[in-house]
Amino acid sequence: MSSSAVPGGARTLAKRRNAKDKASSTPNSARSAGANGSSAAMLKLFTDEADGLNVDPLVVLFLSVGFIFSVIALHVIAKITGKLTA
Amino acid sequence: MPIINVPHHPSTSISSPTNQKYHTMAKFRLLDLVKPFQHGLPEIENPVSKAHLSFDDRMLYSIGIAIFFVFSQLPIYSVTSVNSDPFYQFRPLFAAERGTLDEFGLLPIITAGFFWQFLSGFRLINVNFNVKSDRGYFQSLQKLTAIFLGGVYAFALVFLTDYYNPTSKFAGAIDYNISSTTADAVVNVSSNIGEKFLIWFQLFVYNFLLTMIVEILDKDYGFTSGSLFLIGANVSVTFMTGVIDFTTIKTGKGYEYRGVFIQLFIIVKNAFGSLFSSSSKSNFFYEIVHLFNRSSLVNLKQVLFGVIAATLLFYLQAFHQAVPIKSKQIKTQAQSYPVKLFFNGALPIIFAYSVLFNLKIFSYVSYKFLNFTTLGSSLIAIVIAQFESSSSLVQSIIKLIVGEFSSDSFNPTFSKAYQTSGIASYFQAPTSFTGAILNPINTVVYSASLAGLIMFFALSWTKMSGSSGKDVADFFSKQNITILGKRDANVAHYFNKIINNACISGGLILAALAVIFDFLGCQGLPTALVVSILIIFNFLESFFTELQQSGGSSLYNTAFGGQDKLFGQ
Repeated sequence: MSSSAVPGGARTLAKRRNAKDKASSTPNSARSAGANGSSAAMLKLFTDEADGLNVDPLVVLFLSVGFIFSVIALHVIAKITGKLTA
Repeated sequence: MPIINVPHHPSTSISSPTNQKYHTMAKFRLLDLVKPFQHGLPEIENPVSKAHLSFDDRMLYSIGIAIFFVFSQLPIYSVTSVNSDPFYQFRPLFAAERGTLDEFGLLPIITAGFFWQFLSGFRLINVNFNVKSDRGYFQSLQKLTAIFLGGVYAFALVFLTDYYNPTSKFAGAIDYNISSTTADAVVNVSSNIGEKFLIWFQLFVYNFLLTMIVEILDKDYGFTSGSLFLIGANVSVTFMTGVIDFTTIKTGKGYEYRGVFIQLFIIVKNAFGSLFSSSSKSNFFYEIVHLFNRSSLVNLKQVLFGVIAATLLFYLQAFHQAVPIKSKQIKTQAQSYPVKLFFNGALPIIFAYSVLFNLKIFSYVSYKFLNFTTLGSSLIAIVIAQFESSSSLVQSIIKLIVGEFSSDSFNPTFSKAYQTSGIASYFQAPTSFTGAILNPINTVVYSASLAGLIMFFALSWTKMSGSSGKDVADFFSKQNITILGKRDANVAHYFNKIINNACISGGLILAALAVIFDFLGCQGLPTALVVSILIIFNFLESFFTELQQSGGSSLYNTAFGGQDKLFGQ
């Protein structure tokens, strides 16, 4: 009879409270876990170190400038050939 | 802003057995979806240490990226002309320039960020932020979504609508004259898949590179959040070119200066000229009214309200509630901990606008797809064939859900598309003050939804960004700080109250400003200016903190510091 606890009562309430505390104390964002994420007035998406294809920031910048210049070059080529054929 | 470096509960750190159990649980997590992609996804290297990257380097990265971003808004190759613009309201805020590589600007990145951070914030997806690998997966998930969304938006706009008129062959037919009426440039839309793919490819690659650039700035190479920094830079440039720009453009009225002040100067000059000569006549008042209301370029109304908004924001952004705090260990004078009125900065408006922008894209694409493509109209035909008895009912239901767009009949280079029917049209900003009065349901629904979105954001964001009253109280108890005249147990409650009040009142002010500017027909520019001013104040805050921490070793510090720094040594 005494082996199983009677349902309800103070112990269940305490258990529930504990579970609730635990749920609300696990962090729900990177910053509340102590890492460097979005803050109150700032939206940050990429602040952690994930393992992926590591790239130097300068490489990305040069690639982007290269991409922009290729689009410009296409425009220029189109304009020149357009002038020649027309 | 409190930066909490210690996890709340050491028992849940990486090595604990509970975590092992958590990891090997057979339950499928959404986060696992990203694992196969992670190793192929490019990842910007973190700076080796913060000391490794000097203040000057970070300055160079920020300025270089801002310049790159502004210059990269060039027209897409192989687009002859662009159809009337349905997204005009959101363009200034998201740096989305019509017909350029920046067609959606920062929308995919911001949408991806808000989407996943809200899902994890409300604990709808299972992420253990205490574990480093989980944070990595979460970041990769956001990045993947941003790149994917960019591709999806571009696909929808290029292949499902007739928004772009591509060239019929790769070279030659591109019309570079911005003022052309493009009547001869209309080509068969469905036939040129190759050109369409080229347009899609450019948009996709640009969005991919932009995501990486935002990552560079987010990762301590810049001073603040990457996406917000780019928004601030773009709005500043848009506004300044709208005020002072000497280039002329042919609009429906003839040649006009892009810069409002330049055009105003010309009008005044002409009016003075006509005073003294009998031959030339200038219609002064007509010109001024036109300058106030021109919809093709930035108009005087937008600039005036922008200046008013800027002045108001300069005044309001200093508002804060000072909480007196005191160390428990050392006897010092009480210091004050400020809780700002705009506690969430510009984020509430950006959130609300990003939701409305996504809604707009969805309704525009579905309208165009169902009405103007063979696939879409055959889909409708199939649905109608299913309910043969009530085809008109089906059609009106589709019309209600999808809505209709109609474009104004101005110069096609500048024409805009307005939603005229359907449920989603109620979430569209009224185009003018008279429009707001004549269509009260639209006015009420729009302002209520904008205010509701902003309130929703203000009330929930602090809890999911580690800046709620409880977090501040935890930080204080770790630093042995108390509020004067409060017991330790009450600190969290007290801060919760103050921060909630600040969020709600700050959010309501921003909502009111945005709604008022929309009702006056300002098409988003003053709202974007409000946002960018808040962003820039945030930026300056962290900028000057860094400047002081770099301790005068910076070139810029000597430049800003003036003569005593240069000659005092």
